[in-house]
Amino acid sequence: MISIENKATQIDDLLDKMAEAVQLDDTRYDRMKTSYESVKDWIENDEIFFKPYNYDVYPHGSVRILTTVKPFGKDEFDLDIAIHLKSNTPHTPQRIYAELKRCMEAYAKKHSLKIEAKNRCIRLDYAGDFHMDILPGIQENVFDQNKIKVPDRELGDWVSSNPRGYGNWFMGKANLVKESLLEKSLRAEKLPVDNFKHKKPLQRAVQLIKRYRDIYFQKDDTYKTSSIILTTIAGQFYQGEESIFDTVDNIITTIRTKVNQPIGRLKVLNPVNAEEDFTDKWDNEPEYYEAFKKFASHLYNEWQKLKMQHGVLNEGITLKGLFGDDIFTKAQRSQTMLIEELRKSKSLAAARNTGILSSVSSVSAAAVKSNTFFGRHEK
Amino acid sequence: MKSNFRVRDRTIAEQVSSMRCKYPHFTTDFTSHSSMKVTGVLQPSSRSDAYEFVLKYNLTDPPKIKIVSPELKKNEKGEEAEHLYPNGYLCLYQPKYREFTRTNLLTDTIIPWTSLWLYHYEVWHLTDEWLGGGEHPK
Repeated sequence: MISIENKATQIDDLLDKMAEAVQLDDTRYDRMKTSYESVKDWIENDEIFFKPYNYDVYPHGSVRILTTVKPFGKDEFDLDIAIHLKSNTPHTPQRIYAELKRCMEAYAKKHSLKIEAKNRCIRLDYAGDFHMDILPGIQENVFDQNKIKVPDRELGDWVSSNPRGYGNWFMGKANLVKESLLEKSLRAEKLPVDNFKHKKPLQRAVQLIKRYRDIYFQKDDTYKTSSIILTTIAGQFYQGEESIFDTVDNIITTIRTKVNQPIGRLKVLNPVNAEEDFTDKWDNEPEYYEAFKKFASHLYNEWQKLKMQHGVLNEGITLKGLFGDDIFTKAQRSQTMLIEELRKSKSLAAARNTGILSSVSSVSAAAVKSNTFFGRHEK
Repeated sequence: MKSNFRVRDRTIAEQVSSMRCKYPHFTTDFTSHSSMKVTGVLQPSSRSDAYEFVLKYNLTDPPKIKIVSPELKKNEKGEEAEHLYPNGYLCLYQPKYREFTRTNLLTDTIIPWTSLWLYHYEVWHLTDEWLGGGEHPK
């Protein structure tokens, strides 16, 4: 079956291709990986402080869970890295931070990178390409391999963090679905499904919601909803839907139900640390909550339009408005080029009962013989 | 196996009977002993609009197919879709290449090509590009 034969796969294929168009591209991913390996080696060989310790270095955040989205209007990704010291150390958080800073300053100097000391991490700036935020942490106890204490400079104390646990939680949710709608349809066509291995509907939905958030808050981002809130909400409300369309639909419908409850507000707790409410800011600065509600409600309304199925021309207008003209056009073009490939290899047909283009495998479809569209082209 | 069956022109009766058999939901009528008219609906993709067409064919002229509803739209720049004859008939094939001749059945050529044309018409609106290829008269 080809994607445009079925209503659900036709739109999911476009949504998938749009998410593909906004994510971190492979070449940059490779560059990031190289930089990350290089930083890792540098820290591991730090004779002054780090070398004797036993630790892991790993990415966290959207790169870990594969939900990256190109920042709108700019072109810089963030790569979040944790340096996770395994054994407890007698050092103060300030000391760990200071040692990391010293170590990275030498690295930055050697590689002519800008360095910035942030509250909890050290940022390396790979100009115009990406930032690498390096978070130092010490494992809290031997029972939980993922929980770390990280130094918070403003507090002057440790704070508990669990970036790897969060990643595992999210991936567990994303894998609630064994095989996505698109995987199934590719399998039916005997096409390689490798492309979709790491791109489950939940990951795609998060990318699209984040992309739409960037467009929605483009003019005024004062009260922009953060990625961690959107990603966590998406993971919490996901029910293992097979399609990207239904995943977004379920998430925004659940948000709508929750925010419309008469008492209290929607809370987004850290799934790996229930004491942390990602939205505690919403109490003191309700403008954030109001902005989130409006944003979610707008997305809900647009999704209802898509559900009405008023034809691809109307849907194109809605999708362009949500995710941007450029990425919609890119996705549509790529879907159409696949149809043209089938046509060239004489594998395209049109179903007799409807006219819908399909693959020749169907018995009730007329093969599309070679033709050359002809005639005027009026500009 | 080599066929010694000589390819011959299709009669209008053959065209009508093939259309009625393969597309029973279309309305297919003789308009004279040597001409016919078909009306029907085609939807190029599962989420597309359904387009009503009228196809007229006689043995002396090329088949003429026109979309009657919904009306074909110009793009935002006011340009007409590509591969349309000035009278609104679709330009589905290059006569010079003999992609359609009187030996062909409309059901195997003009009808599936119309689906393909409609698909590209919609994509042209969506992407501002005609991605279906083709040629233009010099």
